[in-house]
This record gives sequence, structure tokens and C-alpha cells, in this order.
Amino acid sequence: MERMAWNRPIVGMIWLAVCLAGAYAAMNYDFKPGRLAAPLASWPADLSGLDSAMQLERPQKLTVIAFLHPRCACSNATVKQLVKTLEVHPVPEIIVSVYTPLDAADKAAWEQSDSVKRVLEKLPAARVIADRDGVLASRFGAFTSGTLLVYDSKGEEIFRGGITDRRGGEEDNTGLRQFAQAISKEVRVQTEMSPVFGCLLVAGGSS
Amino acid sequence: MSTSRSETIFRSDLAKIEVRTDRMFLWLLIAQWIGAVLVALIWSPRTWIASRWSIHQHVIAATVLGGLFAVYPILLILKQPGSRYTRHMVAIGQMLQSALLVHVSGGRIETHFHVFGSLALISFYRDWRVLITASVVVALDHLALAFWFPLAAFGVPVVSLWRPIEHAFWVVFEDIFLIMSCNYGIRDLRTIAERQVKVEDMAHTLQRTNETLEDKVRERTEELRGVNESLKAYAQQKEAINKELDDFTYIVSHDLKEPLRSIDAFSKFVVDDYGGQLSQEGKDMLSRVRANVQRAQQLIEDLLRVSRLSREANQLCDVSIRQLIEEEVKPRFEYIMKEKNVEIMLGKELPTLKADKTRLAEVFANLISNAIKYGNKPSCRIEIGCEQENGHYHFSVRDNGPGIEPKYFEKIFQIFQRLGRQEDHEGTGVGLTIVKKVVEMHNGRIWLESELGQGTTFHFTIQRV
Repeated sequence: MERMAWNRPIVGMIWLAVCLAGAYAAMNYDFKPGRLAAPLASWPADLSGLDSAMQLERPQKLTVIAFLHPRCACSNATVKQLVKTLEVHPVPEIIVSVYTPLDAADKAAWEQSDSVKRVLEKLPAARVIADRDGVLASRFGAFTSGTLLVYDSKGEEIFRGGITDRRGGEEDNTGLRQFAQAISKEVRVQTEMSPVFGCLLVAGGSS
Repeated sequence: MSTSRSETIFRSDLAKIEVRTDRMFLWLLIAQWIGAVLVALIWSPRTWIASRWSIHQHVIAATVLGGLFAVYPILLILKQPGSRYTRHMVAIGQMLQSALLVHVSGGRIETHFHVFGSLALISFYRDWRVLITASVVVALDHLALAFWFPLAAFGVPVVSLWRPIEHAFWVVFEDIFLIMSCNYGIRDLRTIAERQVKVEDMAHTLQRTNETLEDKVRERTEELRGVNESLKAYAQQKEAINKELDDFTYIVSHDLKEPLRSIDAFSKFVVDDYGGQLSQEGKDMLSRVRANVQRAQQLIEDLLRVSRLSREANQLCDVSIRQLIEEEVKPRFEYIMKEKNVEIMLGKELPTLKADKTRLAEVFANLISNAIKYGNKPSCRIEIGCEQENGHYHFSVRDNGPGIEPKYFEKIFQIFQRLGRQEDHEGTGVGLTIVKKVVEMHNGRIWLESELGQGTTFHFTIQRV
């Protein structure tokens, strides 16, 4: 008969407890969404101080604006979800705001990342804007990569949030379904903003 | 006793399997740890805050959590391989590794197969209890995820309790077959152990039988050696007696010759000098005395011939049998061959061999003489042939005479034994005895085949030198 040292189960339980605590912490991080500002009452009026390349007119037609950090691993999931949905429900105006550091020596590498290339490959009509230091994202209250905004033809915001269920998640989720409804029916169906999972576009947001 | 031994063997074999499986998990846990870190580094190496980056949480989770999940089972494997506690902890660690892999891969559905693969690997222990432990970990993991992070496992923000139960069902489904496999494995191990005991028992019995057999062989060999020694001694004794007998025969025969010669001579003097004074009956009686004396002299002469064979050894030389018969044997019968119309046929394969030429001539002369003497056909036909067999020459002398009854086959080789009445055929009955002795002196043997009315064939062999 095998004899067990009295302290072995205690050591095992401690080990298991530490493992579970670590796992919980890791999962918690994965499912903790980034910071998201409240919906804007109207189109941001103060875009005058920005470069001409970042100037955006109040939309006259259904418009989707996607804010992406080109080096965030989670951006790929957002782009895949976005492309997949837009192939089913096309919209007339797609704007992709790509975070680019103001002092970046290799701006082209930032602006033409894999996620941006994927958007342009699948959605050639999309307009890509280099967002210098995340100023544009800041004006629109989109602090986290993967934030999508949808404006109707009157320039009213009808969707704000993410379309992935977690960092890098590509499954079906509430945010994705609300986004699809917003662009297909041009109405606001969100009762609350869907969470966004990704890297921060503006320093000071929660990661 | 056998049951206890088979149980010991079974335990030993099972312990080896447990230790071997522990070792497999040692390397697997290390490889998975490294693999999880690599996957995290490839899929999400960094996290960004605007233009600043830091190591992604997934890399940290894979490194720290992966190490945490693996290190305790690894330590147990190294310190206490084969223990029940170790394999239960290994099962927990392995299932946590599965959970981690699913986590760092971003919840890819494909990585969930790692859970099922892990259960199959855990079944290598052939301990269904360990499978239960692993399955409980999976079930609790899914239950916890359903409660705190439903999106992670189920892809929806809120799930009912039935979803983790559904997931657990598939694990139980696999467990049923794995547990069956474990039990079959245990049963097979027991069967193997029982068979091993039987084989060992048989080997033991065989060894004992061999030892007994070896003893018996040794005993018999000793007996045979003793018998052999006795036979040798007997042969030597027999040889000595034979020699004494030969010497005795020679001396007696030699000494008897002289008085017989005197009897014959004086009988002749009586007939020559006093024949006129004797009646006819007296003359006849003296004539019979002389005839019997001459026959006694012939018998003694033949005895001496036989005795001389043993006493005198001639040199072996190359002898052409054909030449021997043609030049030395046939001339002896020239006259009688014409008289009795005798034909001697020589086979094509008559060899040249090393032998005692004079005595071999005696052999053929005696056999031919007998064939002629007893021949009862208008023409007598004698065929002499030879075949070479393993290590010796096989001669045959066939005649077309009256044949010999089987009851005489052995008797005719004895000295002074003859077929038929003495009056019908001359001779003392020593010829075939001489033939047999000469053949045996050449390490051969002689025998005959015969059928009444069909003739007789004498066979004899001569060893090749």
C-alpha cells in the first residue's frame, strides 16, 4: 500500500490554488475591455486644428469609422470581423483611422501594416487616414484599438464599440450583431456600448 | 504460490508502465510549456499603449502560468515517479496546460482537441481514477468559465448551466472508452503475468527434466563404459583362447600327422609284403584302414590350413580381381570346366583392390569349386560381379545349381559341415570356413541367398583400404 506524506496534499492544494488564481487573473485581463468614451452628442466640431489629411466632414451618407492600432495583435480579429460583415452589408463610406506616432521614422511601416493591407485588399473603397499620435481617435472618444463608429446619413452616431468578444476573439458576439444591424438598418439598436478589446490608441486609457 | 508470483509480476509490470508514462509526461509538460510560450510569442508578442509597447500579457501568462502548471508535476515525477499522487497531480497539470493553450491561442476551437488528446495520453497510466481526476478538472474549468468568463468557452456572454454539462458530456463520452481501455489493459497485464509464471514454471520443469536426463545419460554412459570395458576384456580373453585353441589345433594336427603317416605306411607294407597270405576279407579291411587314414590325413591337413590362416599374415598388395580369376583361379578348373560344361562370366566392374592375393584366390576358388561340385544342370553357369558401396566392395558369385535350404545358410560356414552324403561329393567341408575367415580378415562379411532349384548367390564384402 502506497503511503502518502501528510504534507503532500497541502502542497498540492496550495499549488492548485496558485494555479487557479493565476488563471483567473489571465482570463480577467483577456476579458477586460478597453476604455470607451460615451457616445458623442454630435459630430466633433473641433477638427480644425488637425492636418488636412485628418479632416473629416460630417457624413452625408452611412459611414463606418474604424480606429486601429496597426501593431496590436487584436486588430487582426477586428479587421476579420469587419470585412466579414461588410461583405454581407456593404456601406457607402468606410474610413480606417490608423494610429501612427508623430515621431515615427518608419511611418509607411505603421500605415501599411498587415491589418490595414487586409482592409484595402478586401475593401478597396476604404479611405485610410494616418492618425498622428491618436489625435483623431481622441477627438472621437475612441481610446482603444478596435473601436468602430457608425454614422447614419444625417451624421448621427448609431453604433459605438467593438465587434470582438475578447482580445483576439473571432466568435459571434453581441457587439458584432449590433454593428451588423446598425449598418443594415441604419438605426441605433445598442442600449449600451459593446466592449472593445485591444491596445490603447491614446496614453492614459485602460488596457 | 503461482497466484502470488503472477501478482508480483503484474505489480512490477504496472509499476514500469506508470514510471514510463511519468517520464513521457515529464517531457510533454516541458514541451507544452515551451510550446505555449512560443505560441504566445508568435500570435501576440507585444501589447501597445499608443507608440509604447510592452510584453503581451499572453506571453507572461504562458511563461508564468505554464511554468506554474508544469513545475509541480515535474518535481513529483523526478522525486516520486510511479506514485499514485504523482500521476493525479500530472493529470491536473496536464489539463491546466490544455486550458492555458486554449487561452493563449485566443480560444480557438481547434485547441480544445488538446483536452481530448490529453485524456488519451493520461489513459496510458491504465488507472481509471486518474482519468476521473483529469475529467473533474475539465468539468470545473468549464463550470468556472461559464460562471465568470462564458465568452471564453461558449462564445456567448451568458450561458445556462446545461452548456458546461453538455461539454462535460463529451468528456465523459471519451472517458467511457478510455476507462474500458484501461481495464482491458490491466486485464491483459494480468494475463501476461499469469502466462509468464506458466512459462517460468515450464522452463523450471524442463530444466529439472534436463538435469535428470543428464544424470541418466551420465549414468548410462558409465554403464556403457563398464560394458565396453567388459566386452574389451572378453574380446581379449576370447582372442587369447582362440589363439591357444589355434596353437593347440596346430600342434595336435601336426603331431597327429606322423602316427597317421606310419599307420598308412605300415598298412601299405602289410599289403605289399603279406598280401598273399591274407584272405580277401583281410585285404578289404586293410584297404579300408588305409582309406580312413588318408581321409584323417586330409582332415588334419585342412585343419592346418584353417589354423594357418590365423597364424600367418600375408602382406596386402594391389590385386586385379579379373586378372586373379583369369590367371590363378580358372586354370585350376580347366579340365573339369570342359568335362562339366562350366561357363564363368565376369562382370564389367571387377575392381583392383588392396588385399591378400593368395587368400583372395582361395575365396574365389572355393566358391567356384562348390558351384561346380554341386551343379546339377547339363551346363553350369557361374556369374561373378562386384559393386562399390560405402567403404567396401560388394562381390557376388551366382550359380544355377540346385540351391540350398535356408536352414543350412549359417551351418555351411561351420568347419567340416557339408551338404549331402560324403560319397556323392568329395571334400572335407572346410572350404566355406576358409572363405568366411578370409573375408573376415579383410573386415568384410559373407552371406548367401538361395532358392531350391533356382541356384545360389554368395555375397561377400571386402573393406576398401
